[in-house]
Amino acid sequence: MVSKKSLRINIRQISALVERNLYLEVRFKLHILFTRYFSPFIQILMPLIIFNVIFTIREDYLFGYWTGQNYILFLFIAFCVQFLRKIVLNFSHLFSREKFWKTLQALMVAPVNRYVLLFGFLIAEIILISIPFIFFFIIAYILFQIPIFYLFLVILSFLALAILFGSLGLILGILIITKEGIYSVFNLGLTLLFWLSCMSYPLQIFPEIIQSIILLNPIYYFIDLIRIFWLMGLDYNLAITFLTPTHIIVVVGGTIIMPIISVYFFNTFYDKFGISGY
Amino acid sequence: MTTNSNIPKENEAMDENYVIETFNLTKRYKLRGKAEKLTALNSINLKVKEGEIFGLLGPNGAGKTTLVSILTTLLQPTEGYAKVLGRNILKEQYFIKKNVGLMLGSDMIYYRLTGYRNLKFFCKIYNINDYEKKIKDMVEILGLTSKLNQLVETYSSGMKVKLALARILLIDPKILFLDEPMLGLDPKISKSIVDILMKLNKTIFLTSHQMNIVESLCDRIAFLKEGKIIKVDSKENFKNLIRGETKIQINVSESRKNDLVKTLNNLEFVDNLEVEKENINFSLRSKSNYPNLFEVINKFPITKFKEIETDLEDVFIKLSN
Repeated sequence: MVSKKSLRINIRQISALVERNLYLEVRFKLHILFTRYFSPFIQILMPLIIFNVIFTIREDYLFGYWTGQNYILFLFIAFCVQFLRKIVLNFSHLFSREKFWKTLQALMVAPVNRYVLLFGFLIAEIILISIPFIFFFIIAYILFQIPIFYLFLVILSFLALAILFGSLGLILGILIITKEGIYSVFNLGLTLLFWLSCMSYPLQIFPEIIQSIILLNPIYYFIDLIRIFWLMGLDYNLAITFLTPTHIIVVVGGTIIMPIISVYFFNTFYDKFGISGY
Repeated sequence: MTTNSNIPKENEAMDENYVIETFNLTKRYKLRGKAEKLTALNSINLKVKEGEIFGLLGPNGAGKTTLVSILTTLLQPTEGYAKVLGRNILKEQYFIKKNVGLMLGSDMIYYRLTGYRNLKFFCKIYNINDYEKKIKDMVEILGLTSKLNQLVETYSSGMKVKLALARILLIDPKILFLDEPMLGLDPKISKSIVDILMKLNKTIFLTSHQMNIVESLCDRIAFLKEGKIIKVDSKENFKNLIRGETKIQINVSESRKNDLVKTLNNLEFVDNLEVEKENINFSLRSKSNYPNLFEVINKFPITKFKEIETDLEDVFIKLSN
């Protein structure tokens, strides 16, 4: 059992790591502004233009549950997902930075629990991401208000997505400091998964062959569930027809399994740090 | 140096005087694309006493950093084990981490933070209370006060090393592991750091290529080559290794230089022959060889003849070869 004293030390260490990470990030303010806050917007800009044109020409047109009335909501959600996605890339960036600055050794040789290290990294990331995330989430809520119950489900499914991205980020992070070759392959795989996740496009816009590939992608279900829950608060009858048991199984299963897999990965490879240099 | 026969059982009480003990410590690295492994450390048995300044010498790739990394719990050995402060490095890592400080040159500090932010961060990580005062005192001793609130990337090399040293001194470790702490520093700053280290009265485990640093700091020295300890002894005994040998430097007119080098190369009492610019350097196995040497070199137009005092650098070269 963790004693009060060690808990206090752990909290102090986590706060030190968070403070340090935030200082390192705000050192280059423009970098933060462009890579963290503007680039997700740019990625959403193109689908926004395309769907605006489509739904202006044909107001009654629909792709699955995407209509002229709700597509802006889905792009807002995609915007929020893009912010969360930054966890995946930034986590590996944080690890590689510590590796190449040779400061990871300073942390590994210190009496710091490896999970304290993780929490320190994660909380700093969450703080940096949460500002624009909450801002755009509130705007989306003001524009498309839903009952509290559905809002709760939406928040819960965003949390599940954050856990999934955090787990993927952790795997990438530990790979970049120990197995850079595998990291590149894993990173490519993740890019493909994001590309085929229907983050900013409806599933029905793709040819059937690609649709069947997308349906094998777990990230798709995480994002789709957020949209379905939000839509339930707006148009329950339409939304419920798109909710499948696969959504629930993949999201609940993934939220439980992925952290376990990533922590296993982290533990396995963390002990091997230092050897890859040879 | 300990031999295999007197290696104690793991649970056997450690001699209280020793704060570092290694028992057949071996580390093998898997090489990419090769079946065989690289043996970085081969059955290392070492003992370091409390309060001792212990120097680890060896050419590049000898395994010095690997040994330091294992003793500070950064790496795990393939075979054998070690005790630091009486605790097994494989079982009581937390205790060891809390009580040792590792300095890898001017690394392990954040160049994109100020000196103060660096020190504050590590004080919090090591759970040091009342750190403001401790930081103030430490930077004053090390002469960093004026630069404390500037970004480390603006520091000179010497300043960075001093900050790295301040980082580990603030945690007040029982043992300091210093890996090439003064690499690239000018003699004045090196000397000031040596002076600080001398006053610490702590156990120091130092690796370095700089013989003057090792010579002025260390009580005992171990020489590591290809992962094996070649010799562990006092620095005086190390110097004795080349006692009797005489280092000589001569100059000869350029036109006869190659002839002289060829002639000297053929003499069996001449070792370590080197030509650097106008000088020809070599060592004589014994002073009794002087008459034979003069007999040979008298045939050449010698412009300079100088006998040079031997130092640890010569020992290093001799053992490396």
